[in-house]
Amino acid sequence: MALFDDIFSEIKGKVVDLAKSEVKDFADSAAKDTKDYLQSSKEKLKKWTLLLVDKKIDGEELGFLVNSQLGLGEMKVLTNVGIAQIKAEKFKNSVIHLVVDTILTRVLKV
Amino acid sequence: MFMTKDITKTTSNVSNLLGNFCKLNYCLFFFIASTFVYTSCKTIAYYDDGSFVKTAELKAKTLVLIGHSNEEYKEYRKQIDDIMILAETLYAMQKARQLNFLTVKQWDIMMKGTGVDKKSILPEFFNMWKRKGKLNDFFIDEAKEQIGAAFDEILKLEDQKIRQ
Repeated sequence: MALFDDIFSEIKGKVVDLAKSEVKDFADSAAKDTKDYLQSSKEKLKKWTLLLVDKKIDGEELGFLVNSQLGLGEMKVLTNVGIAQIKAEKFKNSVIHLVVDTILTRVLKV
Repeated sequence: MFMTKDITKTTSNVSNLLGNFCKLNYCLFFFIASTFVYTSCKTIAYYDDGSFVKTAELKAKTLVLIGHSNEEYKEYRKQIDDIMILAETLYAMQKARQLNFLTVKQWDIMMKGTGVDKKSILPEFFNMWKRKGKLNDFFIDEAKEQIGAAFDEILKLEDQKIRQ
């Protein structure tokens, strides 16, 4: 029983460390990505409005560009959701390996 | 005396063998359990090299073709058809892959459009070129950037997927 408590405590510590580093990395990059997208959307809309005012593009072309920017936003969200799922799977995989390795090392040592 | 010693030795060997067998069983159990847990909880498709390479190829060909959209549409009809065939093939390939919902949704935006207007990105660009005959350089530069970025999102998600 003491051996099990020992193993469990070792696993818990390792999993917590792993989760901290994985989640933090993803949260930082997703937040930066969203911020960059919003900033670039603002700049693009300003640029396209000026092109329309200067008659360098027409209303239909502006419509295409705005629509593509909205589509791009949706695609970015899907990419981030996908990366979060992939990270979760990699995390799960790492936890399984960590648990199995820890138990095997301890059990085979006894 | 000799017999007793022998029996003790044999018992000890059997006990060691049993111990090792149990340890092996533990190993086997954990290996099977972890494999089962890992495979049964899969939520997103594995990385597919064919999809990644073909999408990158489609992106490159599309951007080169867009660069010619300041010329007459009818001169490029054949190349546009080829691009659209490649795009539709890739779209169909993505739909056929298991657990590939997110990538399919990205392709939906690219090829069918979403929201109220349901305006696509790629076919809509070629339709506009067809309607107008030729497009102006200011619009081409902006559209090229937008379409390139849309392809980049599809490539980025594929690239992050777990290799099998």
